[in-house]
Amino acid sequence: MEAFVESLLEELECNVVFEFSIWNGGRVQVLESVVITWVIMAILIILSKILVRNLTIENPGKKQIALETGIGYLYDFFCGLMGEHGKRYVPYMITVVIYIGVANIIGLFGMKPPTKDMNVTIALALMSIVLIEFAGIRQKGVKGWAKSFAEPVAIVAPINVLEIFIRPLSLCMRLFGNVLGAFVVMELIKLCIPVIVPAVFSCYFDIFDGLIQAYVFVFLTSLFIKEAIE
Amino acid sequence: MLKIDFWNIVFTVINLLVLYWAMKKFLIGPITAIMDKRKELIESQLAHAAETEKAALQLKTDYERDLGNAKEESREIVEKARDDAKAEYDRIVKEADEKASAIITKANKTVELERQKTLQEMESEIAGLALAAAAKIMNDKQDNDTALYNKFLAKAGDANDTAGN
Repeated sequence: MEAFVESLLEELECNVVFEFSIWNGGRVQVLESVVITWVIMAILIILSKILVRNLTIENPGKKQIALETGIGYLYDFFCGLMGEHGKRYVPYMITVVIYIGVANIIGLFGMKPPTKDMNVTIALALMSIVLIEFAGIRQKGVKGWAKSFAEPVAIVAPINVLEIFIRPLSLCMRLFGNVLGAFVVMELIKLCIPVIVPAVFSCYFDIFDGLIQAYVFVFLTSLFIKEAIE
Repeated sequence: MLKIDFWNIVFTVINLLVLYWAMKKFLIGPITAIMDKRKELIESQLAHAAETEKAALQLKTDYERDLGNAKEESREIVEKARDDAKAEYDRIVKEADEKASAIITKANKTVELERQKTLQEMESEIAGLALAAAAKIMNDKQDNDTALYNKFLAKAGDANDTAGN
């Protein structure tokens, strides 16, 4: 039992891959999640370089049709959510949904999902809230953005201000909690019954839940942006 | 796992920004560009097709109008030709009628003249004969009646023969 707990904690731990010194003598530790993110980035960039080669306007091949259908679907989805004014944020949302989707199911390939590390989800949520508020300021101007906190009545202003912190916190914790939970459950199953059974549960915890969480994250961010630019 | 590390948050933010830039440049940009281009192409082709159809319709109405005009014209031409032909026919028939009646009149006149001439000639011949007969009777009082009659007949027959010419 001791050994079981030990190995589970070892699996849960986000290891330091390497560290280096910075100008003031402090030590910067680069965590596993960041390194795996680099791997994911490399895979995505190489894949897109390969897939996007030789695109044609007329007579597209099967590969191009699949690619266009996929990207077109995501594009229309986010356009529909954020409306005409939100079009500029669509590429970012597509990037994030692809990244979180890949990060969540990378556990299938034996790597630890980066989204299991809270630093990554914090970064994602921070960028989301910055984007949401930026979109609001861009659309309404600083004055209009400040005024929008007092809507529909002035008395709800404190709650609206609180939302600036609540929204990213909920985004960050939802993603982190779901992925961590799924990871823990999968590790437990793998330690108890190492064959066949994990594959079945993996379909739910890694693929289904992982993609659902990616969807929920970008869906909520898009809704908030839509709300901010309305 | 639960350790919050400032630098790793910064790294992740940088990672995301780089990934965003790369995805936009290598994946989303080219694909949306090609989709937009195709959309443009299709739209321009549709516009072109509509234009061509419009031109074709215009041509068709022109042709139909021209065809109607041509029909009308041909009908007029045929009518005119028929009228002309009828007039010509009438004229020819009338002329022929006139000519024929003139010929007949002329022939009648000639016949009449001829007859009168003959009559006149015969009258003068008869008068001559009568004169000759009277003279003969005066000259040959002794001759018997039979001889005289035969002689008269022979003379008259000769005289008649020459007059007939």
